[in-house]
Amino acid sequence: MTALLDIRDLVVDYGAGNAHPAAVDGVSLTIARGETLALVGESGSGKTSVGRAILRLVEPAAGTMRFDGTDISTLAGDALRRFRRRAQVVFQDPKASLDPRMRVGDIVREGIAIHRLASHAKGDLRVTHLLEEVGLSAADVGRFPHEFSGGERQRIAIARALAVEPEFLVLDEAVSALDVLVRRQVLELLARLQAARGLTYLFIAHDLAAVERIATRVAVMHAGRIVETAETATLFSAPASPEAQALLAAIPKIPW
Amino acid sequence: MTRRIVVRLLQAAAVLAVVATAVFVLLQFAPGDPFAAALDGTNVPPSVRMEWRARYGFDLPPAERFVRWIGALAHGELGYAASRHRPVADVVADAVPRTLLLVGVALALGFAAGILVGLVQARHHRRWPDRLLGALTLGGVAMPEFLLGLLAMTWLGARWRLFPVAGIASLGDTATWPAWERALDLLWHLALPAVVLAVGVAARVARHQRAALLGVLGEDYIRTARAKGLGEWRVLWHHALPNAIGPVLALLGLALPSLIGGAVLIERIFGWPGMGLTLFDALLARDYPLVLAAVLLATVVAVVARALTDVVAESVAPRRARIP
Repeated sequence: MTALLDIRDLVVDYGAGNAHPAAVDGVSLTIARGETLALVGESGSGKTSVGRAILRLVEPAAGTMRFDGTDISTLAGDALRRFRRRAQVVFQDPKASLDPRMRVGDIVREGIAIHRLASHAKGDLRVTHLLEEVGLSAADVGRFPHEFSGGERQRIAIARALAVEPEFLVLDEAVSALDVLVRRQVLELLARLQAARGLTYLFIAHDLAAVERIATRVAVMHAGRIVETAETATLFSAPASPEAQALLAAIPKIPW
Repeated sequence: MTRRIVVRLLQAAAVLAVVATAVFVLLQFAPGDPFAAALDGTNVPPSVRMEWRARYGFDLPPAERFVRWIGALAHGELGYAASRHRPVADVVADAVPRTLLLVGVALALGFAAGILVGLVQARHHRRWPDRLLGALTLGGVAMPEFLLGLLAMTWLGARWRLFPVAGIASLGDTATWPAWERALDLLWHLALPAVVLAVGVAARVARHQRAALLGVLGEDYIRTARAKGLGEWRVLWHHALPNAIGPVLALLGLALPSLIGGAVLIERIFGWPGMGLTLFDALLARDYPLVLAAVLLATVVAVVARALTDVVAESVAPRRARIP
């Protein structure tokens, strides 16, 4: 197993120092190329902070993060920009995460332009392909995010993330805001994209319900620490930690 | 949309009617008359003065004069400016473009500088550029225009002789100069009053722009933009600014009336022969028709600016209009 991402003793304290308990308090995890690691925990357990620290959207206070062998915790300037082409993110609420004043085509194209991945004409073609790949149509490029439903918006967010051809995606509660049927469709889309593009996922969720069908392994977080990591099947059949047991007990029984 | 514009127009008309009445009534309480300058302090017998007052209708009861004035106004008749020995319409036609130039340049300068300062402050939030510029904008908001004007005139004008202290054109036979030279001369005279007026605008705009940007910078789509790998300036310019410009554009409608007020003092200080100076002189000369016309004109500009701003704000903020 070659680790694409290897994190050791990550601490995120949002500049609070020792005044408050750290949001992320010594997290270590590895993600192998092509797998999906689910990071599960209650609200405030620090899972989103882990995702943001990996993407360097917040600055870690301590710890090492290696991506494909390179230390990413101190990247800056051009090196950081190149890393951000390889590691992308889909946030929870696409109504908030898509710029309300940009057209869909521009939202998807901006990453391509900034990383100079294609000429203007080829970029247009690529945007169209991406939209079709996530189940939207080429005619949607001229529309604004608010003209779409929640599920469609999340597809735009996914197309946007894929535009720069990343290897690694942080899916930060990416299906949590969607209703159960749309959630299943988006999960299927994510699984299909992973198979087709060989993507590696860090799948952040606050409940285990969404995780079972997509995760290879599950890490359970509580109060800034990882309390259990296990293969998905193992965790669902024999959860070791009380936190994992509580999360399992909380899954609503949905007949699907 | 059409309904909203109609409502706006009706509101504007109501405001105009109230202002016209109020100014007319207030002027009745002002001492003196347009002939004060000519007749006061000289050995003019009271009968001559009565004759003059009667000739120009000042002996009529105020109510009748008001009705006459409104009637004339409805026909586009603004009256005769005794202090200028010219029709009011001619005086206004000369002065208005000069004020528009002054206020327009001040507005453009103020907004451009203010938005830029707001961007820099948001970019360096809570670091020294933010704090330094924050202190400066606070000073800019607090500084009275006339004081800043006098300081600029004293130092930049009189002491260092970088700019003319007053007027709109150099002395001498400027009419024979080539056009570009006259334009440069105009800009040179415009510089101090326009910049002084712009300082207050820029300070207010910067403070609003900074606050609006900081509000937007916490949004998820900004995080998305950073995750795309965009540089911080591009994030600010392409994602934060378009979403944070609305409240600042709304400020346009508020800034214009206050600028017109500020222009009265600044035009007086710098001898800029626009509507502000005209109004100021007309008040001192008790030239009622000219005062009334100037105030009404300023009111029209203020009301129209306000209404336009609202309409524009709605059209540039599609979210407010389209998403319920």
